[in-house]
Amino acid sequence: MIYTALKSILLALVTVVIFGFLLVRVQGIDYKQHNDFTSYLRRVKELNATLNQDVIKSRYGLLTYYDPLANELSELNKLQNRLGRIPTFVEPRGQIEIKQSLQAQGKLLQEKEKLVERFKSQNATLRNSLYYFPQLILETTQKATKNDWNLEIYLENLLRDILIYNLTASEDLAPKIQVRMNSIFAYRSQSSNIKPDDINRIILHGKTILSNKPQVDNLIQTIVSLPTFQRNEELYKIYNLYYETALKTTNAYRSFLGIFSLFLIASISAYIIDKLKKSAQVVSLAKEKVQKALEETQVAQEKVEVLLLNILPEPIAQRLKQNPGLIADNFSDVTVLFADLVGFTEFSADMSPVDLVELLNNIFSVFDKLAEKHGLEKIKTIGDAYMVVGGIPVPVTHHAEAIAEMALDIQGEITKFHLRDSVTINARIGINSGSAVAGVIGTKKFIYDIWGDTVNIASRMESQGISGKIQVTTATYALLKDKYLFEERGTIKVKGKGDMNTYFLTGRRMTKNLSLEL
Amino acid sequence: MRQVQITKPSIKNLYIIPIVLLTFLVVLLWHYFQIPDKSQPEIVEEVVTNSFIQEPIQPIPLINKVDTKKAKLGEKLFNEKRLSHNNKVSCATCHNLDAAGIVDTVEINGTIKHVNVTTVFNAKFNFRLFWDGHSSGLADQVDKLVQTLPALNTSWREVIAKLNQVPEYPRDFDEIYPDGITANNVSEAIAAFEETLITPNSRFDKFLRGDKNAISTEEKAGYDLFKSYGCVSCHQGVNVGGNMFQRFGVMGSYSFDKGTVTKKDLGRFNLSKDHQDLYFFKVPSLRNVAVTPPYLHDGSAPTLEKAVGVMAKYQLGREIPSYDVALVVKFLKTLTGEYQGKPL
Repeated sequence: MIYTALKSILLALVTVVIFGFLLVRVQGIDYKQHNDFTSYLRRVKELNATLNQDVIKSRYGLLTYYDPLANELSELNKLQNRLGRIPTFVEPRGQIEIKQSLQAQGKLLQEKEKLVERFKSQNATLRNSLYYFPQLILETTQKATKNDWNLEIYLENLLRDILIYNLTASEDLAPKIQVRMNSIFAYRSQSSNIKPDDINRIILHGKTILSNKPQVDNLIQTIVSLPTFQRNEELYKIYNLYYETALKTTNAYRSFLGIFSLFLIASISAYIIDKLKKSAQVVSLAKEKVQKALEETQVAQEKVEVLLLNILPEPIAQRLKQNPGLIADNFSDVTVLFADLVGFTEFSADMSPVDLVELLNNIFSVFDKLAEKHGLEKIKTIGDAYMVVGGIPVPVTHHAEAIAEMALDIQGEITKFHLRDSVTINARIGINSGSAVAGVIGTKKFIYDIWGDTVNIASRMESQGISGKIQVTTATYALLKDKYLFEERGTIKVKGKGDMNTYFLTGRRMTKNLSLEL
Repeated sequence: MRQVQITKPSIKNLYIIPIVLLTFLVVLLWHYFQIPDKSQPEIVEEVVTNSFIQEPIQPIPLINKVDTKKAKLGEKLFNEKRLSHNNKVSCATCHNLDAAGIVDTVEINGTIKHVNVTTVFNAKFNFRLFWDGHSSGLADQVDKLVQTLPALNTSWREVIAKLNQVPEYPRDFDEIYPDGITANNVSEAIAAFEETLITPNSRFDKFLRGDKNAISTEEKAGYDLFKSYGCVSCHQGVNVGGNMFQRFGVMGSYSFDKGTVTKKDLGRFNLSKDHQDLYFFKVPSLRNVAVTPPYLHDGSAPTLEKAVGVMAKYQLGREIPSYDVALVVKFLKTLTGEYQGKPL
């Protein structure tokens, strides 16, 4: 038990670990990092372009202050630092490559910064002289006297050439300017009013312009031709390569996760289905058993019922089943018959008890059939006596007639036994009609029985009857006299009752019967 | 009995299902409930650029967005004397904000010393700091000064230890910085405060913004001279300088004339050891120049007139007439701005 539990826990743990691992891998790419990194790269490219533009603008006076250049460089440096935070999803080899590329870009940035600083200084010096040059020429020419007209022309030509020179990127005018400056320098001591210092100053600024302008132009050339774009592009390519690799890896893990999840769900489903199936099996098995037990019970009950019906009349049996206990019903009109097998006792002495009982069974079975045929209720046998009643448990009007028919049939059947088995037994039958109580009493081995005076008198009719005759009371006679033939016996003394007038039933009144049948 | 034996273990094993499902749920939700990075908020600095002004000098922007929380902490630190070894010197000791961000003399260890400090006002507009530009920004400058300034005579280890002893600092820092009191954070906070130290609304800025009567005709003439003498080729931009390096002595050697050359006079050469950088200095800002004497990298010019003269001599190669100097000085005086609505 502990072993299986441990196994389950281990399985669950392994599942969770695999699932967690895959999930972390799937979320491997931090898109914020990616977006930041690429936007920084784009911004670097953009800034480099703007910086180049601004350098050229500064050279040609379109931009008269260096704040944009300084700001762009400062932002480039900031971006370079930020780019140092390489997205973490890039694999180690890529980290190294990107770092190297970044270093190359950083080095280039340093170089560019240095060149731009140099440009600013040189350009400022150049512009300083250029700003001042017209003022200087003006101041000098204002001092000129009539004699200095030659110098004046030289100076004006120099100013013109310098201004044109400044506007071109070529150095074509440089020799010419040099020549003009030489001429002016030669004029140094010839003027009365213009001092050599003034001339020197002009030459100094002219030389500054001449030396700085090509330097500035060269610096611009160098700055613009720095491979910042290539480095940027290269960095982007390397990064993109590793980004795509990371993307592919993530996608692969995503697929794995999908498959794994599917597998997991399938396993869990299968497990659940299996469990459900098993429990369903158990349930159906149990159901079957219960069904079987139920059926068995039913069969047993049916058997009991049949048995019950054998000893009890059906309506009584039904009543007893629903409400066990005392049953005692009053019947006002019943006819009771007792039949005793006369000569049986003597006869039985010659037979084995088993054969005797078998014979008795044969006879009484015939009686049972007769009772059934006439719709009578057999009550019991007492030794070789047979007791049957008409009018119970369901009251009927023709109970006396049915009993009469029964008595006559008994006589007939006994005769048949005479012929077949060569036995000499006769039936002594007694009948009485009247009221009685019928029912079931007691809780064990109960039978449907009948009590009352009517029953006792019927018994007396039998016991005090004559073998082969059917003795009836006046009550019965009164009920049957129209349909049956009687022979008056006269008054007999009945034990416990006193004198009673009795009759013998001898047969059916044929005419009446015929007329009835007709 | 059989039924019980079969169903019991099957129910017992079903607990795997809720466990697995719960794990799914936890792992999926975990991603969404991660505590967001307590990264430092970016300083939003939105400089509102004025409609294009076709002049080499640009006005100081009127709107200056900084991280106010950091700036507030930075202000406290700016006045914090625990930033020095003897607990007597703070940034404000030498950068007196009531006196244009400078002082002439300072008492250190009982002796009164003359100092030539650069003003902190508008320092944020300088592309580098110190005369030789060896510091790349405000925070970097704080960092360098704490570690090297003799007047402070301290170290970060000492400063951080001392700040940690004052209950309010750990609390204030923790509110802004996830890593509490560090050298970087102290520097950054002070820098944030220094970024608020700008002096807009000088008369010249008003003139630039279109108020033609903000400066007098003489001052305007001074500005014209400032341009025609070529000064503006270096002193340009928002800070009227402060965005480039230039050789001090384009038209002559200042150091040669001075006679004695100190290390300080070598400028950026000290940093790069490149002979091309000899005598190169950061072009200083001329904002509030009238109220921040003395002048030049060695503080050798006590007055503007003297400074203008020196500049004309070494940058232009001439002496300019005194009336021109006077006009230029008049112009320079229009560059004095306002801090917190009051003129410096």
